Amino acid sequence: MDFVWMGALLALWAVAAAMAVGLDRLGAPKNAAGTAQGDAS
Amino acid sequence: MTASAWGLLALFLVALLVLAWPVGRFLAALCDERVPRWMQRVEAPLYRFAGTRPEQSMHWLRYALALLAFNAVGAVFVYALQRLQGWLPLNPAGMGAISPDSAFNTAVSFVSNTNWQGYGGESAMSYLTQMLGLAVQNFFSAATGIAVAFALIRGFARRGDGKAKGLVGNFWADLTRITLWVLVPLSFVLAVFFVSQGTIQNFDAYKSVQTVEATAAGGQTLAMGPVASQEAIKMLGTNGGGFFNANSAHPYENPTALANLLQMIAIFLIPAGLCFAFGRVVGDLRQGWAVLAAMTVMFVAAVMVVIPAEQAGNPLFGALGVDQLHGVLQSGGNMEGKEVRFGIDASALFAAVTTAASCGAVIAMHDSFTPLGGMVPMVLMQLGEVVFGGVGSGLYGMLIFAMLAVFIAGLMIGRTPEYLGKKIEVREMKLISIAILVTPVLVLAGTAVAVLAGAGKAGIANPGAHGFSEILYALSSAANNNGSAFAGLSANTPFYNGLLGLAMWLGRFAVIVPVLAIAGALAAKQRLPVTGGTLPTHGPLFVSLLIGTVLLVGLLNYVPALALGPVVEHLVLWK
Repeated sequence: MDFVWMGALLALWAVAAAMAVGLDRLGAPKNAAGTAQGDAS
Repeated sequence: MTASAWGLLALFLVALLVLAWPVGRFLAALCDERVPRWMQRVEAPLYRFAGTRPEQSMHWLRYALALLAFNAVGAVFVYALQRLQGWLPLNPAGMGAISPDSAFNTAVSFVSNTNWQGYGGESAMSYLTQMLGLAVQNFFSAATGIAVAFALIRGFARRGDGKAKGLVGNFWADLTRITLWVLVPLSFVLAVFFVSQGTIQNFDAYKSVQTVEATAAGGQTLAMGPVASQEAIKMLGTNGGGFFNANSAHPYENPTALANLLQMIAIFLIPAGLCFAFGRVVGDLRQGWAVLAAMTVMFVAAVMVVIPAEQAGNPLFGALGVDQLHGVLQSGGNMEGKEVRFGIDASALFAAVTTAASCGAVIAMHDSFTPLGGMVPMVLMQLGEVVFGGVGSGLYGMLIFAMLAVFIAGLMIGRTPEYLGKKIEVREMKLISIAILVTPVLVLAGTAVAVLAGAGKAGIANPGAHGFSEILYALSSAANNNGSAFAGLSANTPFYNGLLGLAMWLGRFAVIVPVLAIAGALAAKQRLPVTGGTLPTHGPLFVSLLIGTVLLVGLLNYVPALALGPVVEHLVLWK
């Protein structure tokens, strides 16, 4: 049972880390030569 | 409200303001990375050991991944400690291993600053687990929350140019400084004060004593332990996990009325101090006062509901001719589940304090409050723990709502939304939406799962509306990282340990991650000068708008669920 619950702990960590990486890409400028974040409204 | 209740509330708020001011000054210095040379010398070996340099500011993603890695290691450590405690020292009561599902729940609970307790401390945990596992996480989870608040404040304060563009600080330096220079010294002073009041601090074996009344067991066992050291950070860090099962209702945790007052002040001390720190670091103290004013107005309104609700008593007792009036000989009102030595006023005020902040310590059983009185702690949690809130999490939660408020105001009057000179644009609004909606989804979906599943319904002790309230309260408490409980729900089962563990983890870190992303986005933006077209965010108008936004989001999310629980119960009781 320890593997199951320890696995659950690590899975939760992986979800949060994946969320961080995903949010870093959310709304990032698609054009590399574009303006800095927040300047394009 | 009685005169004594008003007096207690006034004394509490005045003492809080006086003590929070200097704490705020010091927190602002740490957030600004203005650390005296002698402190830097003490810190230096720790940074060398960790292989980091405090002056190296991080991009938000690096900051978030460091934070997540640190907390994951903490969770695994607490899990292992609980499973192995039977073979480890400082275990005079011979506690065996905690079950895997309970160990999972407790590990997540203490790492996420929730401190929900499915176990009874004195009947399950060794002294080593209490100290090295639970108390240590009390410090680190609190420091984590403050570090995130620091990162967001820096996002507002930085001008968005030069080398620091887009950088939010160094997580390891923040964690070290907050723990070493704020939490440990304050906890030490408070622990010594608690000992002076009668809180115990020892490693003795449990004591068997002969009681005056004859009992079937022939006496009573008195649990011992290093309580005061855990009690101090439990309150200062808005953790709330009691050394004993009765939490702060236990005389060894909370021995006197003075200790009780200090416990309440300790809960709000850092959240209030952080408001002042916020104002200082962004260069306009009025901004901090505005946030603090919004928090205080909502808190006082909650107190003005919960105390009269408890003072009104139970109409069913009234029908039996029971005297429930307040007088010189009795507290009156609804005394079920309350400590006689604290009475109605202190118990109801403590309930509001502990749930307005995400503390979760209790001196009375919230399950025994009147339906209206019990709804107040539930609503305070459901508002997102932003009415003072947890250390750090309360401020960053309220700042998220402040950004939402300026966005709504911008839509209404046609101005470009900006807060403290930073434009709030599409990316920020997406992140704000995620940060705000995570906890309602967890609470409502989790409650739905629990009332549908057989294993969820099996834990209910009181059928009907009150049973629903017990489940709704548990999920609200877990997802908002409060940790207090309605008694009556048997939650130490694999089903609830898993469900609540999931809610606690995501309620903590699935909010922290978007908040750090917002901090990074803000830190990369130019700070615009104030013009005639800038919406003032320090006056009564903005405070009202902020309160309205918090209430609107909370009520839209939770009114239907509340109608099925405490509202129905209130109407049935007072029909």
